[in-house]
Formats: sequence, structure tokens, C-alpha cells
Amino acid sequence: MIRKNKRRFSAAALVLLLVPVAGAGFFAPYDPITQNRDTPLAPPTPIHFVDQHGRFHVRPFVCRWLADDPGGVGTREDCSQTSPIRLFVRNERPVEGQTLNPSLRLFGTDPQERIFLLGTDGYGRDQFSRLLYGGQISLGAGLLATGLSLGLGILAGCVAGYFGSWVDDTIMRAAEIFMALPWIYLLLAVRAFLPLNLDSRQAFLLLIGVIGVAGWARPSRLIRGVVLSGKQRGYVLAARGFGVSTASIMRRHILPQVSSVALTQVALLVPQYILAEVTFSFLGLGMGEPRPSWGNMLAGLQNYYILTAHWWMLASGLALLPIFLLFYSFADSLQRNFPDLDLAR
Amino acid sequence: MRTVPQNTASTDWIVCPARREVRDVMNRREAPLHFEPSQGLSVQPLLHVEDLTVAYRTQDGEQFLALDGLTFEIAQGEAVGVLGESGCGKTTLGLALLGLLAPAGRVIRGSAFFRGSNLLALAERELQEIRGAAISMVHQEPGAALNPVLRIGEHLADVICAHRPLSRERAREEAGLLLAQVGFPPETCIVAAYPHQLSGGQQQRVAIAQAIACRPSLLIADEPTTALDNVTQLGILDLLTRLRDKLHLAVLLITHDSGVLARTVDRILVIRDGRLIEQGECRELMRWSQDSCTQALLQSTPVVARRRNHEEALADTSDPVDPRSRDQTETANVVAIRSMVQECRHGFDVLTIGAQAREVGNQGPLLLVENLHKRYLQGRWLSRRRHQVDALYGVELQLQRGSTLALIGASGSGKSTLARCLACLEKPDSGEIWFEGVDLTARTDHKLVPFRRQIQLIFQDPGSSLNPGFTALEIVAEPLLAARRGTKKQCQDRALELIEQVGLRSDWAQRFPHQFSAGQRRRLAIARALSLEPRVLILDEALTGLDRLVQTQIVELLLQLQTDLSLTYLYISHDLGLVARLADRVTVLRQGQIVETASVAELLAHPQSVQAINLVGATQEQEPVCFRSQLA
Amino acid sequence: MIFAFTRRLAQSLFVVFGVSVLAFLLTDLAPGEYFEEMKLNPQISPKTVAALRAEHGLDRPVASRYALWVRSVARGEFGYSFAYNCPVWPLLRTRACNTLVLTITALFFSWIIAIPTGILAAVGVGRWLDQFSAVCTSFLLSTPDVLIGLVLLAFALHTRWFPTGGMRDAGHVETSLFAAGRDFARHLILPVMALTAGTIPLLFRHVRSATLDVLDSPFIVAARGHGISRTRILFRHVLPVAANPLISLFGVSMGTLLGGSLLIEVIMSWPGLGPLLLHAVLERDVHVVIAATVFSTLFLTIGNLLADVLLYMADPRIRED
Repeated sequence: MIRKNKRRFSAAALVLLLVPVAGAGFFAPYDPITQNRDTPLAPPTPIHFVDQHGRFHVRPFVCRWLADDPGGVGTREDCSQTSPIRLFVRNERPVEGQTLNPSLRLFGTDPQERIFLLGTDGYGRDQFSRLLYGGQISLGAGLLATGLSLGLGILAGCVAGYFGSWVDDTIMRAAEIFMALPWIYLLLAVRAFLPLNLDSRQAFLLLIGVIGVAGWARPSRLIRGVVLSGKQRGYVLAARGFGVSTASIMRRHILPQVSSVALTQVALLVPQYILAEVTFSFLGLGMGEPRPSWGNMLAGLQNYYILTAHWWMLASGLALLPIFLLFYSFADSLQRNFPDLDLAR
Repeated sequence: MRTVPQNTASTDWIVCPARREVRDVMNRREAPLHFEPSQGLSVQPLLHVEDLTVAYRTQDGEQFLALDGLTFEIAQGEAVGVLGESGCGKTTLGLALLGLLAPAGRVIRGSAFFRGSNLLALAERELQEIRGAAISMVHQEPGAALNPVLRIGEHLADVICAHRPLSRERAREEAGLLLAQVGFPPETCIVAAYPHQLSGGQQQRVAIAQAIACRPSLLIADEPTTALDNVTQLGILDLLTRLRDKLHLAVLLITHDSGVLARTVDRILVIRDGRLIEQGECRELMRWSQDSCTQALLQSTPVVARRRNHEEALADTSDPVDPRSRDQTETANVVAIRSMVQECRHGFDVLTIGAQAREVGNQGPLLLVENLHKRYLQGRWLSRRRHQVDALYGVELQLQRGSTLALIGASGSGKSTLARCLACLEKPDSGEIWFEGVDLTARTDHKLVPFRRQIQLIFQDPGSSLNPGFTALEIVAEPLLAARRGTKKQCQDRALELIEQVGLRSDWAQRFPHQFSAGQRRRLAIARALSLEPRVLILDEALTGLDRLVQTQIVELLLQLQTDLSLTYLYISHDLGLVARLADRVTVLRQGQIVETASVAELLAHPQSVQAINLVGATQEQEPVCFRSQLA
Repeated sequence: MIFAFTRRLAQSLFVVFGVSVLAFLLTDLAPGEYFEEMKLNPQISPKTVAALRAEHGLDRPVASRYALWVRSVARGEFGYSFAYNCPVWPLLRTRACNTLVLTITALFFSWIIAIPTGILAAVGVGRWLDQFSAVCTSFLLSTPDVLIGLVLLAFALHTRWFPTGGMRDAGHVETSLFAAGRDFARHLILPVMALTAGTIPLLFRHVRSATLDVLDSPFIVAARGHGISRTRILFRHVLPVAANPLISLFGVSMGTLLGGSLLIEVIMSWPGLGPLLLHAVLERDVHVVIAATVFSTLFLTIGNLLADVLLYMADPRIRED
């Protein structure tokens, strides 16, 4: 019972976390590309309820941010000018490259002011917005790559398991070669031979392709094992005895078992592939500027100055934590909810 | 041809095993060393268990009582048997006494006094000293009870060093002596072997050696022979009896097989659902048992019966008035011996055997196998170590319409391969299989489908032959749907009929296989096999692994179905008792070759081949004795 | 046994060979090469570019290029690096050593920590140590390597306890072997910490589940039934049997560590194979990429072979086959 709840809870929490990312156009206050050169590397904007005169406001507000000195990188707060936080602010201008561009945004302040929930980066771009829009790239790439990889793996595994003999051997040898390389080295090797300078759309598709194709081997081994053991089960033999056609046998007896393994694999592979995308973009081989991705948001941190003084830049890395936790706990609960389905008692 | 009515009283009575008179078996242990309650407390019991109650906590958080208020005693040197169906809590008893319960189990109340201290209240350290040294245990599956990475010598030395202050080298020498005591010849190098290199019987002997290494007073044997075949069982039970006499050991023998108990123990405790139903001396219990369940347990042991005389039996059953009946019975092609178990009436056991002649025509055999060969290539496609194994070599047999042919052989003799070839699931390399005049081996895979449906195979382990994700209805309806015998609704209705026919309730049709008991799963498998109205049913060890009681019930079902639907059976087994009840003729298979074919009566009376001799001897010595208290 | 081992060896060599062939085939598909930029440079004549290309054999078909490469491998050069303008092998040798040192140290420490904690957690299953470790490992498992590396780096920069980046202090004159070794070790601490933190959770989980599996076995119950003490059971009965799945894990953990080391090396500027490969990918230095790929495969394969040998020695059931 607890396990069932754990499964539901982690699934629900995941969906909850994914909603703001998917609906970044609504949830994010600004677009991810606009630069605010006068407030680079600003810390998260403090939200005040009590103004400088000591009065309490029900509606929270933010103070204006100024640069310490023109051209410098320091910023400070000037609470003589405040602007309240409003809900459902009108969208200033639509973000290019987005399919959904709602006319409203969830929250914001007056047009001249800025609220940076997670601070800004070196170009003054709002980190919170970049986090949400970047999540679309990273999480989306991870999910789609998982689909591709699992699809290839199921295909290869079913063919290898079903036909056996030389087909099986060839496919498994190929899988061995793919698994002979450590994962990141494999990714880099495959990426190495593809164009380096791409626009964002091509980069996104390329990422999905590379990660998905590189990772087909492990799922295919698993699926092949399931198909092989399923073929030898008593009920498959009995079904052959009744004259059930092979296609029917595959469909009714073997594929259901494959689907349960595949679901667990999804829960384990998605975090791995999200991480692959983050790694690529971090190393400069994935999504390039100016489009945000959780990986290239972290790339700036390789500069020691930024790393030590500006902790909020780690936001995209920290955002991965709860997502991975939820995925792994979901996978855990799945593995126990599908106990060995055979009656070997 | 007149068939004999079933409930005749004046029929053959059971002749007990040929080798040994029954009375000898019982007389030998006329005066067991046991504690007579009437004599007063002059001798302290070795173990006194009072109101033992053990509960298990299931995954849902509920509690169920595995043992409830158990009270009994064991005297020094006495052998007590615990009899019950599987799941009644017998194993829990052994584990609870030694404090080895799984974390989910707890002793709720009760005491177990052993040499003055309560075992259930001892701390772990004190229990450790008792385990192995004063009370030791032999487990059910010997292979699983031995550590696979340690040598046998190390196993024994471990136990010895844990309780006796010997050096490791001395312990190893002792190990050699122990192995000799349990029956290993002195020149074997078992000491250096690993467990997986030994057979089941040898592993169990090693486990027994471990158990007696420190001269305990009480040996708890938890189903020590269930996982072994008949011949080996006999050896282990003999060993236990010998050790008991020599070492003055008390034995608590836990089993579901009453045949095992009759040979070995003085007293029997019958447990059902965790409660002690009855206890008493072995002989008396078997004769005077009050409880119907106990009777069922005791009598459900298939008895190997030996007919006195073919002609005498016929004379008994033919009609004295009609002079032509004798001729008619003589022209019967196959005569079967059927044994029936009747409900026990108060105070008497009556076992009835009816000799029934089957209606067999002269049309020739239904299934004829000629010179069948099948070879297997072991090893992978590109491996260098592929070698050939002859699974079947020159096999020939005949299956007559309406009869039951039994196929006996040890494991690895090719029985399952033969079953699969006959069911058209595998193609033999050469030879012919004729079914109703049609050569099956000449047909292509596609054309074989209608024949496959006529010859159905029921597997040994329905756990794997029933898809755990299908409901019972789906399982039984699947062949009908595959063969397109009507619309989906019609197929499902027919499936429900079949489920009822095999003795299950139709409102269970939506349950999954794991929700049925083992016996009920066999019935499901039978229902599924019957759905396409086959002519031949091949039962590949379909009754092994079940409790005796359940086996009897399924046997009854099979016999009933055979008469109702005029089926032909090919029954594959290594259990001669079941074979005697089901079959007319027997074929013995050894390493892919037929070594003997005979009727059941002939095989039991005059077995020719070595395997048959071994099997017959082992079975006969083991079955319990049931008397008729009075002749009608 | 020899036969089985040589068969495995042959299999592994085949795999490494397959990787090199695959990598070479991919270069053929590469839409770009090192000399692209040179072509765009108006100051360099096309004839020079063509001559350079011919010198490196880039105008020949794939098969002959592969043959050239194999000959280069046999000569001990492993191809020619365009970016560094020297044979690949000297570059590779130092870098590979550095990566190996890092990986093996991290392997050692992660196993040293994971095995006792895993066993203790399994033995006291459900108690506070088990639950505490479960929470810690879940947390660590969900933290990406990138984050671990960056956080540790930030920590080191703040506290200045450890040197950050590089393998040796710049400007440090090696006075003695001992001092050089100490300096090297100090620089090794941070990357090893990062790598170990990334690998421990997985290893811990596997050790714990392997031990739990064995603790549930019937032969452990039987051993307890013979009155053998718990410590003795743990060391003599549980560990040898639990070693089987763990040795298989050894090869896998090698692969995980090699992969993780790439990122950590880049973040912490440890001069290993990782930064070399990254640089080569960005520069399109084809031969370096192929050589680095093949080498990492070689390391992983050797790790797996080693695991196989250990397994053979540990489990008598495998010796039977």
C-alpha cells in the first residue's frame, strides 16, 4: 500500500514539476534571451513586505536595482523606488521560437522594473526564466531521446530474441561494441563526427538523435532477455500446442512482459539522458548560445570568479536534484510493484 | 461385456508388499522406546512444548497464526512424526523451536522446555550453544542448505569447531569419520568436493552428517526426503533409523507423506491449520483414527497393489450364470486394476479394489511410434564445444484407444522430449509417428496444426504453463479462440462449462492463477487441454509435486474424464504408485531407449529391467499398511 | 580454464578492433575536418592545403586510411595529431596515465567505503544505519556529477584547503621525490573526492542488495541452525557468496568511473584523457579522437577481463563450466 502511494506520489510530484517547465511561456516572467546589461550577475531580488518607512504592505514588492558604478559588475538595491508584484501581467512581447505564447504571464512587476527570482547571469538575463525555458530543452531532449532509444532497443531486442541464432549473435555483437565504450566517451565519439555549428533547432534534434542512438544497446539486451525467457515459458509452448499463430503469441504473451520492463527502463533512462544533454551543453557541444539549456547555464561556472561569488548560478544544476530523486523513487516503486510474475513458489 | 460395478465389497483385498510381510514391519517396532504417559513422570521428557503459538505478519500488515496452541512432548530417543498438508505450519514448528523464524514471524505465547530451560525465552548466545550441539535440524532441500562456495569438509569442520574445542585439522579428520558414518564409502573424496557436484541424496547425507556432528539429543528433520526420488528416499530413511538406534537420538520428523512416517516413527502428531488434531501411536492412528481428514491423509497414499491371479480375478467378476462372459473377459485386450478409496466408516478401514475391464476395440492402435530418433546439439552457434546428445534412440511404442500408457524413466531419460515430439511441438530427426493412420512426421508445420490440437500436452509445472497475467477464463478460452470455434461469447461459455467439468467453480473464472492452489491450477491446465476435444492427452509428470490427498483427487478426475470423454492417456512419471492407479500398460525408458514394456500387473510382479526393479522395490517397501479389519 | 580465458581475450580484442573500425567509418561521414579553417584562410593557397592533406593521407579512401592508421599503431605512433603537430602516442601516454591514476584511486576508495557500509546496512536492515544510508545515497545518486564537481570546487575555493585544478603547482621546483609525490597527492584529493561521491551510492546499493540476497538464503538459515556464530557466518558464508555479483559489478563500476572522470577532469583541469578528447572534438583532430576512444575501450575491457578472472577464482561453480 505504501508502495502504491509512493508510486502515485512521485508520479504526481513529477507532473507538478513539469508543468511550469512545459508552460514556461506563462510561468516565466521574462523571455530568456533579453539582456539587461546594467544589472549583470545580480543576486536574486529580495521580496519585501515592509517598506523603508516601516509600513506593512499586503502585496509584496521589489526595489529597484542599480549598478554600483557604471560599467562595473556590482549591484545594489535602492528602495526609494519600489514596484509591487502583480499577478497575471500582460505579456510584453512574444518569445520567438515558442509554439505557445500566451498573452498573460503569471507574475511580474511594472514594465520598467525587473524581478529576478533567481538573479541574473553575466549578460543580465533572468535566470528564473532561463531555467524554465531551458528546462524545456533539457527535459524535452531527455524524454524524446529515451523514447528513441527504447524504441530502437525494443525493436532490436525483439528481433534478436525471437529469431535467435545468427541474427541474435550479430545484434548482440553490435550491442557489445556500443557498450564497450564508457557512456560519455561513446557520446563524445558519436558527437565528434557531426557538425559543430548548428542553429538551435538542429542542435535540439541532433542531441536527441545522438543520445538516443548511442543508448540503444542496454535496453535491447534487457528486452532480448525478456523475449528469450518468455519464449521458453510453458504457456508459450502450450499456446503453440493449440495452434496459436506466432504473431498472436508475441502479441498476447510476450509483449506484456516487455512492456513492464520497458516502463521501468523509462524511469531509469530519462534521468540518464537528461544528464547527457546537460553534459553536452556544458561542454559546448550541445545547445549553443543564446538559447538556454540547463547545461550551458552551468558552463559559465567554470570561471572561478563566478563560481565563488554567485551561488545562484548553480540553480539549473540544483533543479536537477528533485527531478532525479522523483524519477528514481518512481523507478524503485515500479520495480516492486511488478514482482516476479512467475509462480515459482 | 459387463463391467464390474464399482462398490463391490467382495473384491480383491490388498496384498502387502511382496518382499516383506506387513506384520514383520510392524512387529519389528513392537516395543519402541517411548514414554508411556500412564507410567507417571519417572522419566523426564526431552522436549515439552506447551501452548506454542506463532504468528506471521504479512505484507499488508495483517497477522495470521501459523501455529495455534500446540502442546506435545518428545521423550529421549523417541521418534515422533508430524503429519500435515503443506501450509499447515509444520515447518514453522521446527524453525520456532530453534529460534530461526523469519523476521516476519513471532512467537506470541507458549513455552518449549528442553533440559530445564525454555527455548523460546533464551537469548541468542545461549540458543547458539544449543543449536547444532543439543538440537539440530535437517532441511527440506539439501542443495539449498549447503553453501555453494565451500567444500564439504569445510561445512562439517565449521559445525564441529563451533561447538567442540578441536583444531581445524582434527575437525577435518572428524569430518571424514562422520561421512563414513552416514554411509559414504571411506575412499571417496567427498570431503574435497563442492555441493553442486553431489547428487540430491548425497547432499542430504552430508546435511545429516552436519546435524549429528556434535551428538545432539534431538534431530529435527523437516521434510528430509520430499525433494528426492523413491529409491533415494528409502536410503535416507534407513539412515535416519540407523543413526537413531546407534546414537540414541530423538527425532522429530516433519512431513506430509504418511508412507515416510510408517517406516520411521513411533508416534504421530497430526497438524491441520496450525492446530494439533490428533496424536497417537503410528499403528493405532492408522487403524483407529477418528478424524476424517487424518483418514484421508493416511489413505490417500496410493497403494501398490498386486493382483493375485489374472484368472482368479476374472472368475470373481464374471457372471456365473452367463457362460459366455468368461470368454468375453478373456478376449479383453487390456485389463486395468483400479483402486478406489472409500470414505472411512467409524472404526473400520475398508479399502476396495475393483478390477475393471475397459471397453477396448480391435481397430488398431490410436498412436503408433516407430523407430524415433532425436538428437540435440548442445552449445552455442559458434562455440567449439558443441556435442551431440541422443535424446531419443529407436523409440517404439503403441497407444491403444481408450487406454492409458505410462512412461517411466529417470530424469534425463528423454521422457519430456518424447512427449513434445508426440505432441508435434518438436520434430524428430528420423522415425515415424502414426496418428489414426496419418504420418505426422511427414507433415509440414502448418499442416500439423489440426493434429496438434488432437494431441494435447499437460506440463509438469502449471506455474509456468499458465500465463500469470491471464484470468482463468482467458486461459481456458484461449485455445477455443485460436481455433475459432465460435464467437468470443460462445468460446467463453464453453470455457465456463469446462471449468465446471474439472471441478472448479465457475465464479472463480475471473481469478488469476496465483490465486488458485496447486491442485486447482492442475485442474485449470486439464480444462484448457480438454477445450479442443483432443483424442490423446499426454500428462508429463502432471501429478508430481502435489500433496497425496490432492493427487488422489486429480487422479479421480482424470479417470472420470477418461470414461466420460473416451480419452486416451499417455502418463509420464517416475512415481509407480500413481502409475498403478492410472495406467494399463507401462513402458520404461532409459537414456532415450525403451528397455521394457509390460502391463502394470506384469511389471509389478516380474519387473525385468534394472530401473523397474529398483522402482518397484523402493515403492513396495515404503507404502504403509492398511488393514481390513474384517473380511466381508 | 585457459581455453575459456583465451576465448574471452579474443572476444575482447574483437570488440576493441570493432570500435576502431566503427570510429574510422564515422570519420568518413564527418562533414568537416581540421583543415576546413585553413581552406577559408585566403592567405594560404589551395595547393598548400592540398599538399598538407596529401601528406596526412586525407585524400585517400577509408580503407587505405585505416591501413595507414593500423601501420601507425604498429609503429607505436597511433596516428598524427594535427593540432599538436606530433604523433598521438606521446600525448596519449601521459594523459592516459593521469586518467588511470585518478580512476584507480577513486575505484579503490569507493569500494573501500561502499563494501563495509553496504554490509553493515544489510546486516542491520531496517535500523537507523540502514535508513540513514538509504537517504544519503538517494540524495547523492540524484546529484549530477556536474553539480558535485562544481560544488566541491566552490568549496575548495572558499576554504583554500585543497589546491584546485591542475596536477602540480605551477612554479613549484621539484626538490625531492617525496615532495613531488606529496604535491601530486594533494592535487589528487579533490578530483578523487568528486569521483568517489558520484560512484559510492550505486556501489552501496548493489553491495547492500547482494548481501541481503545472500542473508535470505536457506544455507544461511541452516548455518545458523548449526550454531555457528554470526560474525563467522558473515565472513565465511555470506561474503564469499556475495562476492559473485559484486565482482561482476567491478567491471561496470570501472566504466562508470571512466565516464565520470571525463567531466571531473574538465571541471578540475586534471590533465587526463577527458580534456584531451574534448579539445580534439572541438578542433576536429581526428586521430586523437580515435585513439582516445580506443584507449578508453581498452581500459574498460581490461577491467571486465580482470573481473572475469576474479570471478573464476572466487566461485567454484563457474570453474565447472
